[in-house]
Amino acid sequence: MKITANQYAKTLFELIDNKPSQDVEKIIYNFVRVVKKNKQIKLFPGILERLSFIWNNKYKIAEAKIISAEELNEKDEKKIKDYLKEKYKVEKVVISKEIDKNIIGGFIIKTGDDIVDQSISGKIKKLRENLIK
Amino acid sequence: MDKNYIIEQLKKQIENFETKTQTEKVGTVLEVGDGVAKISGLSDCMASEMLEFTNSHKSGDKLNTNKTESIYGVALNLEEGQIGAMILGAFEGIKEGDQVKSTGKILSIPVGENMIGRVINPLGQQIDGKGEIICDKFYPIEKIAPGVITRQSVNQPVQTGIKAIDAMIPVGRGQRELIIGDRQTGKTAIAIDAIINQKGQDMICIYVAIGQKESKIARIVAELEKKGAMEYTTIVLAGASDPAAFSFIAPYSGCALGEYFLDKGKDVLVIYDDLSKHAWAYRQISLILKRPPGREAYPGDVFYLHSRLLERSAKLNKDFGGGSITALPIIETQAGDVSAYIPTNVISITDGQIYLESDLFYKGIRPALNVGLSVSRVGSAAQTKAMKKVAGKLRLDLAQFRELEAFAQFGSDLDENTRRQIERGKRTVEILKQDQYAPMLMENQVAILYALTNGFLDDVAVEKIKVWEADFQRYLDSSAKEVLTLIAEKKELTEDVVAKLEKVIKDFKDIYQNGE
Repeated sequence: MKITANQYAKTLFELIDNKPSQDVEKIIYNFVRVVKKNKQIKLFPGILERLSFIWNNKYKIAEAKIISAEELNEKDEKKIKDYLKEKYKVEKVVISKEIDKNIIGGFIIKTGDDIVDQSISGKIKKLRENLIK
Repeated sequence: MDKNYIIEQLKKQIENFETKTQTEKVGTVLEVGDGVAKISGLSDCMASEMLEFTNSHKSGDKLNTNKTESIYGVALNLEEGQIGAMILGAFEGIKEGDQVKSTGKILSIPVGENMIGRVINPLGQQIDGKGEIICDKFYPIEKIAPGVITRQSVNQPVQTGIKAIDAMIPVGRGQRELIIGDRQTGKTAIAIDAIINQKGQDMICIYVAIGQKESKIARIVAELEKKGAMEYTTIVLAGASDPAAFSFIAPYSGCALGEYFLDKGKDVLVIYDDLSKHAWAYRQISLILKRPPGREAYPGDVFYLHSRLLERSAKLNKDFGGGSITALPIIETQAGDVSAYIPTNVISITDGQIYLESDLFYKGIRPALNVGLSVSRVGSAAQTKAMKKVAGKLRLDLAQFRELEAFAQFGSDLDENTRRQIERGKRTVEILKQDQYAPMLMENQVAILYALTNGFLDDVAVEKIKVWEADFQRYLDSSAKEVLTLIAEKKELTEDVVAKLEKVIKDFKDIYQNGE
């Protein structure tokens, strides 16, 4: 039976969790060799994704992507971080930012599968759908 | 309407418009093809949940002005890292990387009285060009069938208007009677005749066309309109050119619509034409979703595919509205092979089958019913007493005839009794022939079958039976209306009814012989 990306990620996480960094290096080297031997190199992006998911789950980290029309100021960023901390019950929020002029104003927060759309373009779209009804 | 009023209304609407901040679950399309998409993400997705595919907002077009119609899909496979979903509609516009939103709803279709007389697609949208259908209720297309306590055994007949069926293979309201036969044996014809005959019987008919040629449906609609049958009929059409997903959900949509009327306590007749194509569509989707193929490459759950659909036909008892859904599923066999996978499955689910044969069809016996192999397991409980009385003899006559048929070639060497039985059998076969689109009322059927089984036709030449019958029916309708109404009301052949009926038959025979 073929091993799935999720299974690889779980195993790798268990191996490297709470280990000193020189051990981790060796483990990862061996891990890559095993995956290569199994001819499943193309699973790497998936494994990486699952690994970060498992890692974040364990250490209560939320990764969020914020799309805004303009650069966010510190105050807003902190507000969003607090909101996310509250929402996902995590201790740390890692944010990556993206500027997209197409959304006109406001922001969109993407966390995993969840999306919070507070952009002007999204609102206009909803308004239009509402009016058509 | 006043222009200012409209503007005011619009202003109000815009002012009152609020967007609620809510978290939406999204996923992305990994791959798409053949009407099936693989989606990553959507961690909280339910089985058979409706998904909404939206084009990604990076299309350059800021507000996405001209494309608003989103395409829906249904999650079928929930796997560890991804979801397999079938796409309902044109899947050409969906690209890899597109966003998919979960809706939190199980696939439902709009239902309502306005659906009657319309041609709709399996999503409940009109396709007959008669304008949008406004409905306020939605019913899920997949629903667990009514349970034991809500049910009642079949006690009311469905009059198909076809002599051979109403007499020998009676169908009751709430029954599931399979119509099975090769291509071109008149399976659809029986179903359409049954719909036409429901006029004035307080029945709502739903004809579900699965993977059918649109030309055929156009012909059927025209015929139903001509006969005034569209007043109580809805046609659910998944055409041959529609995606397989449409063919797959069509019978469930038709059934959901039927359940709406069932809940209102009405009697519904649903025709699934045909379930072999339904199984093919499901096989296609399953194979593309990489579900393991089994016998004849069908997936493991084809039995459940049909059993859960047909189990939804029911006769409810008084406490639950007393409505019924009668199902007439149709199965097309290949070269008369009823022991193939799908036919055996559906035969075992249904309460009987009407078996049509191409040999009989080419011999000119139409409907090409094989009386020996056709059965109705529960229908006789619902048959009217009058019909039961004449039909009992009919079956016997036919069975004896079939046994003796081989001797028929000896002609004059036969003894009197055998010869008489063969002659009677020939006339019976002749009487059971019936033209398409010419369903007959129960009382007329009883009259002619009474005449037949009691030997009134034995002195009419076999070749002249058809003409005799037509003239007899005309005579009944014009000069002997009272006997017909008596049978229709009493639904029983009491002695005085029999006496009157015999007198009518004798009178007619006298006139007929003198007229000739």
